[in-house]
Amino acid sequence: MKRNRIGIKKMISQLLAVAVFAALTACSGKQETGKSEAGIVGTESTAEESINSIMASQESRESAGMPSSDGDVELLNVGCIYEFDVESPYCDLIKYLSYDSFMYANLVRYDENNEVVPCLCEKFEIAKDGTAVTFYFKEGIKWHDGQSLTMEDIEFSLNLWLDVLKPSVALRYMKDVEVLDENSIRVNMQSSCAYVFLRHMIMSSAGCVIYPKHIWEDVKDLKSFSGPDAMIGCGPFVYESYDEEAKVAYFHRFEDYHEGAPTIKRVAFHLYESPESVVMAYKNKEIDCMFQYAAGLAGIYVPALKELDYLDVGEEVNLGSSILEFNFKDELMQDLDIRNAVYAALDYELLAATGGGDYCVPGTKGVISPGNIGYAADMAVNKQNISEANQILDDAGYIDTDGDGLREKKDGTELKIMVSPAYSASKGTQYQRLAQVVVRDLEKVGIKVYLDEEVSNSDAWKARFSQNKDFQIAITGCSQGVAIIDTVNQGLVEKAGSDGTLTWNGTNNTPEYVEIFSRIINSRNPEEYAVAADESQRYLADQMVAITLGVESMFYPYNTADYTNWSARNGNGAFSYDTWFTVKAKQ
Amino acid sequence: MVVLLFVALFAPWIAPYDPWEMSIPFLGPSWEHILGTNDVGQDIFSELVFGARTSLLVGFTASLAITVMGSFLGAFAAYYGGWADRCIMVFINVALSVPSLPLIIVLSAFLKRSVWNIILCICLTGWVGTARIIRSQALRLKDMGFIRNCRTMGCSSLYIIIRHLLPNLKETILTKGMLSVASSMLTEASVSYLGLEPMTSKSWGTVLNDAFRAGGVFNGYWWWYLPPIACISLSAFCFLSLQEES
Repeated sequence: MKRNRIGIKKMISQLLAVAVFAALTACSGKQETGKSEAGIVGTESTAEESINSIMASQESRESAGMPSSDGDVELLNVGCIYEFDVESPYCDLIKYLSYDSFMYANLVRYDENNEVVPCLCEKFEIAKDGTAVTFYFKEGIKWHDGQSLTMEDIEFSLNLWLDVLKPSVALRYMKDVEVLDENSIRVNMQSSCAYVFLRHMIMSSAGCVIYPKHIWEDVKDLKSFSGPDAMIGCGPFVYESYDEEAKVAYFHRFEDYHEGAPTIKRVAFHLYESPESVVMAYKNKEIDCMFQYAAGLAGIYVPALKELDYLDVGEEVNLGSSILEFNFKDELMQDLDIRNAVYAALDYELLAATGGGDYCVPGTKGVISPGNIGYAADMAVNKQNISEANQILDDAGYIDTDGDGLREKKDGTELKIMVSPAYSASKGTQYQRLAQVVVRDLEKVGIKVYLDEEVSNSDAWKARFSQNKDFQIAITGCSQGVAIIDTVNQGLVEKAGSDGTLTWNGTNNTPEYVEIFSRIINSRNPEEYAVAADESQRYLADQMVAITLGVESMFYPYNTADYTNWSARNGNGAFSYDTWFTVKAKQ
Repeated sequence: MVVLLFVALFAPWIAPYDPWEMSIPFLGPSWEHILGTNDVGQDIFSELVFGARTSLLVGFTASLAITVMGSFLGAFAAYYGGWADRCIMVFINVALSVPSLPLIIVLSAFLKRSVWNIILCICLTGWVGTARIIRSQALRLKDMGFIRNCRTMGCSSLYIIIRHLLPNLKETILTKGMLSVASSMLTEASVSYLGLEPMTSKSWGTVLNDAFRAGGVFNGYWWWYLPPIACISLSAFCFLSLQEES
């Protein structure tokens, strides 16, 4: 009996061992990025065309990894730090891809020099007085479901922006939409802001793209409409599927795209949580390039990236920058002497090194970074001057009256400044480190400073910075996109525009500044824009509205071992519109 | 263990630099900075020396709170039995079913960044293991002769628990206490590695977090990321060894 029992136990344990081994083997299968069947799990396509496309792409998947005979790229793996939470144009990833007309497209787009060029229109014309822009219809454009783009789609979309989406910035300057004839449509503005309007419509975070009327006209709640139909655009790439477990979104090229089919057959977006994960993905050769709107990798990762033979690090100058922003709603920060003393106290060399290692240098007075239209090249480079900072504070009456080594306010009460680093998935840690340097530097001139520890998540930061505006000094950033669209001033001015009532993102509403920014918005051409931008930089320097903490390079590494003919656009790196039509697999 | 305590107690004298003082960033190891400097030019060795303080503070404080709370509630549940026992056990079982590390991470992210909040978060779920073990041991003791004698002599329940029940469980309590120190230190390291500690706090977890976030790990700056790992592992090993001894 005992022997039998032992035998049964032995058999059971052997069976268990086999089962465990089988399970482990099944689990340890290497994740085939975009090459496995997993890539098409998770969605149902309703349109016949979509099914055909997926079938076609399945065939191409079988040959993924091998260069095709025409040199087209079978599968490009792209890393990014976005969420794919919903199948709609309002999903984070799709929203930022739409800036470059990837799946959803717009009437205009940026070319490789960040100049506005036609995309879904034949041409556009800005009225001489800058109060209107006319778009001319382009024949032969198709939606991903096979239907043709019509003038009705464009009219429907522009009215959607105007009446429903109500975008938060310059698109609010739209007055009305007027169909002139069957081939042209005009957007009238409230002021002469048509030139800046075009830039804003390319990079609208509110989802201002051209929508297929036949799908969206009956949709009651735009933001909650999702699914395969909500993913039908007319850009060069068609949505295929999202693998939620692997966090990979797949797209394939649109063969009927009106500017010709891309040279990339399929794109797989690998979604990561942080820049560190993206660097790790490069190290593991999981990705060929990255897509992160206006936020490439920081210089601190370059030594590691340079070790990877298959990559070009893709260096480009960031036209935006990390900035220190004063809150003009705060009584203490309204004092120019305090702002000037802060400016003189900061160690810009250390701030630059902290922000970007060897690839960041101190910026200049006036916040606007070199390379931007209207950049004033004669501004002084930021430099620390502790004795000047002390002198300014002494002269202004901020002196240590109780002998504790810390200065008091003019009325003798405690002088205390809070420094709030912005919460950000991609740059939050950098802002925290910069804030620590700022605190250290201000302590050196006898100011009691403390770090804002309450901002530990995104909601807390929004409440502090945008809703309550109860910060004193914020360490944040001007993105490259904002810098290109309408300068860093967008984040610093509070109200501006034709009637001076439109709310912007900042806290400064002094009439002189509002007037300068209104002129930037209302500039009718690049020349007027440059003059107003130059003037704004001088105002920012004189009034010390904000301080740039470094002019940095950012990096968008791309695979040069397997692919060639990459194009780059400043702000998007190598994964840009032009690349989609030029990049080739090496034979 | 003695070395660790010594380093923590005399950190200002042992550390060659003020760990918050900033100089030249990204320096490699040299005689001047034996473990180099971090991304804001702070001396990494000095950060580790001061980091011992935070790690031990969190380890000992959280462990003390966990042990006191867990022991008392466990003994209380066992001694009184009935509804009190059932209520406490339901509470323990619910707390045991909640994954503690994710809960701590979520709480730390939404509370103000502070070492004391981290200790609080660790304590919230940490006491249940101790309570469960003490309860089971106390159940065995409460019907023994010396406890019955106390009851016959009219001693109060609180007196019996504090003077007779818990002292007879001191080995178990001490063992769980040692384990709690090690686990609290590891939890603190995890939380601070995730960047949820105060921004200026110096702990081994924050040094590791800085190394990871500022490219130290990717760029192969081993002098930045290996020492904090060694410190965390060694200290946890010390407490686990002490627990074995006890």
